[in-house]
Amino acid sequence: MNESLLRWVRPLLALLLILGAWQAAGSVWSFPAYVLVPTEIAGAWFSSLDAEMGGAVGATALRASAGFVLGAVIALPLATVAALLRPVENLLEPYIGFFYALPKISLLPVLVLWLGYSDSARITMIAVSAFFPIYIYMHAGVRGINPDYLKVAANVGATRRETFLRVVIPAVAPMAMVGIRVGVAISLIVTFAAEVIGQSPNGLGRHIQDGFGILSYEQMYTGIVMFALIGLGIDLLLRVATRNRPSIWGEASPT
Amino acid sequence: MTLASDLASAPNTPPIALRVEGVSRTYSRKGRNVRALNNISLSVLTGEFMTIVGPSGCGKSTLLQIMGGFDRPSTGTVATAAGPVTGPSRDIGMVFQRPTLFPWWTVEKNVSWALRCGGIKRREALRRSRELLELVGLRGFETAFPNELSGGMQQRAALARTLSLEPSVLLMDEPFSALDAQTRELMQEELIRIRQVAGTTIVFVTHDIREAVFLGDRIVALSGSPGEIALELTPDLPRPRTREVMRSQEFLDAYEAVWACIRDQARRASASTRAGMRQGDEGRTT
Repeated sequence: MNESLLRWVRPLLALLLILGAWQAAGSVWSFPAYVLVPTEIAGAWFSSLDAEMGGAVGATALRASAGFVLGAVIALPLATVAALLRPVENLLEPYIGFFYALPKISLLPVLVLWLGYSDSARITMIAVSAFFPIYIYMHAGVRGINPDYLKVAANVGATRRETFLRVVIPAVAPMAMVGIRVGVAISLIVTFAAEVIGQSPNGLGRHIQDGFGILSYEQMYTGIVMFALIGLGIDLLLRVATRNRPSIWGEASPT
Repeated sequence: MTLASDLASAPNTPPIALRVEGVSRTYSRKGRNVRALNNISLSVLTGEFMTIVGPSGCGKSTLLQIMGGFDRPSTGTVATAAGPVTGPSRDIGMVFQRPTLFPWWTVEKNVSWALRCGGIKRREALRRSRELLELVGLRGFETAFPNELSGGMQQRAALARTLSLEPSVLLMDEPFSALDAQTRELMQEELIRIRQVAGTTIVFVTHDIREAVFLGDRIVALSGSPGEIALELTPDLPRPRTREVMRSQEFLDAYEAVWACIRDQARRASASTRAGMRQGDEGRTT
């Protein structure tokens, strides 16, 4: 068997082993009703695949992406400018320090007061939460650029623009990617919270919370599986979008 | 002005490629001023291979950074035939201690980018970068990524990139110190060969006395704390250098002379490192 195939087969085998043990345990002992075995979850998941579920997944994915993109679009350039320009850094630092440690979800009631029980409030909530990890990683990435890279650029006579596009951006790409992945995960977490606490009329958060309300365990589990699949899907998308740039994933070690 | 008068007064010696005049460098560290370099003056002649050797912390790297325009002297000036050095430029090429290739580009692209930044058209840049990679012995590795190459090969590629600038002076900052002993010896011989072909003026900084004497037409030894020129030596060794010269009496004499000059410095530096003190490095303060 070749190496690339083994890379897939090994984790898959490990997964099957654990699911099998879980399944077997379920048939030996009788679990309480709120613990489902893999076949039950899979069955419930397949029968949940209808237009309504599609709508819930769509609403949640849309909210999470809108919030994430908004947070990233502000965080990436702001962190770059702050890391390069001392006055901007001085201006932002106190606010970043104050809000970084704050549980961002605690701002949701305030946002609801301002914006009502609306998607504006929920998406703003997600954007604020996604902003911080992306900002922190991007800032560290720009600060951590090998100073010799910039010396080389100066030595070969690269213009500022050329240096920024061809040296600074590729150099920070791996750190930016870490920030983006953490930002994606945070966005999904906060999307759930924003849907439940923010009284969303639809979405996976609502779906799971409703399942909890009517003690429909299948509904809860199908919602959870869907959430995981959205996260997995986004990660795959990021991988595909950057497949020609292995260095972004730290797979080409810097010299 | 001084360059012109030198040219006029000494018609038989080659023109000066780079002149360092009364350069001092003072750092402020923990509120104290530390003098790293004190009143250094030297002239690098066109076509010359100058090596600068000294114990760690003697300021030899700082001197090279100042020569390349990457650092500013506190007092004094640096000038080439083109005029005073006020910042990094293509006229003075630098090879760093680490190869510092951009890992997101192939070796070829690393070199051709340097050419393109000098206004050379894409096609010509590619052709020239292949030529240079062949010169440094990297034929067949043009499309490799830096992390696929060994440390020695990466340093060859970095050398090709710097040579592509066609600098009037090539500065090398302990370029082989991160390599294993065998690769280092090979690279020294390679550098001699490449220099024969490219005919570049080189200033080479090292802490390795053997390397300094083997490579240098002229050897400048710095004493540490603050860095001052302690010895200048032009041993009468055959060129181009081969390993055999290392067994000659001239080589051994030159080695001994340099070693005698910096031995006390080196001893003090290593003693203070062992004692975990910083005073030995920082030395006298102003």
